[in-house]
Amino acid sequence: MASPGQSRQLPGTGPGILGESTAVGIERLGLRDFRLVRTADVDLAPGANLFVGENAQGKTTVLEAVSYLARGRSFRTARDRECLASAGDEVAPVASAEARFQRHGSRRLVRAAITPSGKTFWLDGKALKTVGELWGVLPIVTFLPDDLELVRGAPAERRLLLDALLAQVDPTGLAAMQSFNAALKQRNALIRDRASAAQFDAWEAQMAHWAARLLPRRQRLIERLGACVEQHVQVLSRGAERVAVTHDTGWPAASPIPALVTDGAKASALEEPLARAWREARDADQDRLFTRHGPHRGDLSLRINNRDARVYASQGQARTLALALRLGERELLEQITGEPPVLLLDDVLGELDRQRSEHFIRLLSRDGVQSLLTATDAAPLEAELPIAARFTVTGGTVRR
Amino acid sequence: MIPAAVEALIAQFARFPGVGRRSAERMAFDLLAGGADRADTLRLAVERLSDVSLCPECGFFAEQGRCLICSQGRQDRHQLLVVERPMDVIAFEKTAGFRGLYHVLGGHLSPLKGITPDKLRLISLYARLDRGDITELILATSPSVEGDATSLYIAGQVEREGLNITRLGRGVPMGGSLEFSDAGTLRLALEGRRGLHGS
Repeated sequence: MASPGQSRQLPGTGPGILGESTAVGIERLGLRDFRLVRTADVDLAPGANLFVGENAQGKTTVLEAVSYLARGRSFRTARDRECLASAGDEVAPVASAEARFQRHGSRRLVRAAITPSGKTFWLDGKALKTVGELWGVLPIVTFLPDDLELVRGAPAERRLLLDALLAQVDPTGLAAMQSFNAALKQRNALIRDRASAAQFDAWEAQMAHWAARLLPRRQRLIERLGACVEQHVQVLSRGAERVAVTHDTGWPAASPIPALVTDGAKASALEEPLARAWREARDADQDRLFTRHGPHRGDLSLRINNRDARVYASQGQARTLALALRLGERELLEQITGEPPVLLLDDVLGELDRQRSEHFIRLLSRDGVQSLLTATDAAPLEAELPIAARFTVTGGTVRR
Repeated sequence: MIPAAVEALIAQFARFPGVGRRSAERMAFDLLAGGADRADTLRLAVERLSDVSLCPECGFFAEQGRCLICSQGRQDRHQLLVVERPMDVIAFEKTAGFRGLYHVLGGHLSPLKGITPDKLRLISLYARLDRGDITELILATSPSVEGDATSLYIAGQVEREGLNITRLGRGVPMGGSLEFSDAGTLRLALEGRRGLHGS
């Protein structure tokens, strides 16, 4: 067992504010009737954990279970029921997963149970009231084959990265986001009901109150994320590409809101302009039947060599940028929480060219970084990366 | 296995908040074991509930006409405290720190659930304020997005000269430990901080 004395300081990080960090990561992972895996109990190692197997044998299921334990959701689907294992017509009544892990020097236990009617989470034996309480307890970063969508896809893809990051490092920001979303849903109901102006005033004031607290936090987070991403692109492209990552606030350029937010306005200075902006947008919103502007439409604006990366990035540039976004997310999580997050890599290293994978592998080999990787072929990875534990996944069973 | 009459009773008990199937069974069998007298006492107590109605003035529970609070000679009839549910009145009465009058809304606004202003007891609130005796309106809706929006809505509707509109302060619970307060509560407590001297 690792003791505090054994852990080494990670480059570029101070010790966690909550004390000296020790070996970080998941020690033991259990799955029951979870998608392709009937039963599995796996002892994970501190470094790189490689899961090898043919397709559709359950490799990704292992990572998906970790995603549920860390964030209360899958990275593959919004339909939780898909996680219930099935054989023919028979579907398991409950899918469950649990992980024992260490963070900030203490050992904790998180458990998830998914049934057709909902999902429940427990932390150290205590049932959680909301999924929100789970966020940040076990920070993770996912690297997925379809991460290219981070660059090419709809704003929702980038917003998910942004929201997940905020939720894991900033409980106050998460609370503001949840309250804003609650008020937004009510305003959209008012729009459908053609409600009175007085009702709009009340709900828009609530939206403005919470958005004024969310937007500056999102702004600061994006500034920090942007700096990390820009550096990673420099390294990955050997200085060939220049990117800029900025905050698209979810308001049109003609609105005063974007300038206020990017200039670092405080919550108190934002509340009134936000309320006014929604009041002025009311008629047009009623025509379109939804709230057209606001943080719920926010986005990361990505520019590569001063052009909109969503549209103009080449395939290679888009790959570099997508990877840099994930690496930036990872770095920021480590900077803010003081400990590196657990990395989940689903069949991604094979896709990278030499230059990108070298950078990646350096990071994965660093002391204190735990990762779970899947691959159909172990050989190319084992040649480049010290593998701490190797598991074979066949027909839903996991063996070391 | 269980007689239908007992099963029906269990089903009724199981509808109470916090009561599951097992507890409901225990309650039903306990009542059965207590004999006819106990069952009769319970039946009478339940029957008497039909005498309970909502006070036409404030919306709190009352037995005949106005509730006990409205018909009492309250010390400060210039203060009106607005809450969502009758249970909230009981909570404030337990503090023994409030001597004014109450007004129960019957819930909070939620357009999503079809709870629009006309579904709350607002007309009677406005009528009470129109009489002009009230000088302070204390909005004590639940500390949630919906509760806050309800308070804001009411404040927008009742603005008039000579009426001071206030709302509850927010902070950390007495006897609680700061490290166990959730982030939202701590933030509100910080935002609502006051000078150590004076008010």
